[in-house]
Amino acid sequence: MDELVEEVLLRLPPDDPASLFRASAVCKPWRIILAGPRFRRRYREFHGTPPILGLFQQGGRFVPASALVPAHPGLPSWVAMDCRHGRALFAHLGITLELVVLDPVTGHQHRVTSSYHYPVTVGAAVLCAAQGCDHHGCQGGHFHLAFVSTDQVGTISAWLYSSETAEWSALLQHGLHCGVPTWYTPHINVQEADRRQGVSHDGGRRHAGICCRGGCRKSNPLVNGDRTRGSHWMGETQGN
Amino acid sequence: MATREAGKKMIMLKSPDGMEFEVEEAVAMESQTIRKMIEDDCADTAILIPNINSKILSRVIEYCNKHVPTTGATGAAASDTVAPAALAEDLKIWDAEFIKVNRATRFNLIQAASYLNIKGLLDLTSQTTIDTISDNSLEEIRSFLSTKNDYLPEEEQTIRRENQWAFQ
Repeated sequence: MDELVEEVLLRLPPDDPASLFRASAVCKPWRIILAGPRFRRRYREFHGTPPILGLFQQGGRFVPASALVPAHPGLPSWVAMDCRHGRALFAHLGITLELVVLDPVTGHQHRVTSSYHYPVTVGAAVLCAAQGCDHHGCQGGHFHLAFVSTDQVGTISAWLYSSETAEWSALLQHGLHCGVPTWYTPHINVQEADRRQGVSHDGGRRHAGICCRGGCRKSNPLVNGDRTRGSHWMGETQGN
Repeated sequence: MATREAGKKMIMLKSPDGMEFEVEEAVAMESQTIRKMIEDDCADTAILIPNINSKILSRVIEYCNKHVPTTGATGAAASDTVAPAALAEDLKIWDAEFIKVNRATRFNLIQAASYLNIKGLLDLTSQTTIDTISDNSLEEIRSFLSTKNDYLPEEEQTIRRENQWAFQ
């Protein structure tokens, strides 16, 4: 019986998120089905590309592009850095860098402080930590943060944070001084690749490059992020 | 690919209440479940369809008869003899009439479509139910689908309060 109900509920339209909420209020068995990871996975597979639910402004405010009113309205006065696999990443730059990973649909927040002091400019990305994940049902799972910064003399440093160990690991602790103006903002470019780690120079473009498993490609700060699998992110600073 | 214009192969389907339905193999193979049985050579004589009574089975066959590719090129590219858009529109109108059934029949059709793995019929029957969920209040949905509300009043109030935007 539950399987038939699930089969029907799969047809709830993704561009009308309110219908999912209303259906979950019909009775408890429906709510159990709708809230379960199996349903979330099948729903994503059934409908394919999920709709854009909204955007985050640089100031951290959520601007809906659908009828969804998220459980959390965003983080005003924080900077929206990235969004991928249903997680949004916000930053607040002070003596250290404060980062918040937010699930705007559930409102769940995870606050992280970077150990790197006095960054001038930063780039950061959030990505699912599960190996081989297709991101159909990894909501609430562990994640990685990629963080690239420049300091006052243009030194680039790259770090990786794991929510599983709650630790930062320095990938380029001494940085790669390449004469880049300090106001250049480093960007995280997440692409598909196998597990690799390295640093490369490419003509006028200097790369502080690091790769890790479980990521996906570069995306804009959207609620849904993208749906790629694979794994490579690269902190990149453009030189002359 | 070979086509079979003459001497169409027939398949016997049996419902648990003893009724037998002779249908073209191509029609029966609209059901992926039956298709697999035929392809696995498990359908020499008659195929017993469990849990689907003759009334529902006859409706399912009616649906499959209408939706089977008319060119004989089953599973292959569609013929251009009929404009696809006109054919699709005709089917849409036919489907809309077909699904005008009471709640119990529709539920049985969902069950049958799920067991027999007939995607088009499952989509049609499920979508009709979804339209009910999308267009009506909680009370109407429960009443229409005979679903018992097992939330305590305060639990339902909490859900409504926390997700007020979805109930406006």
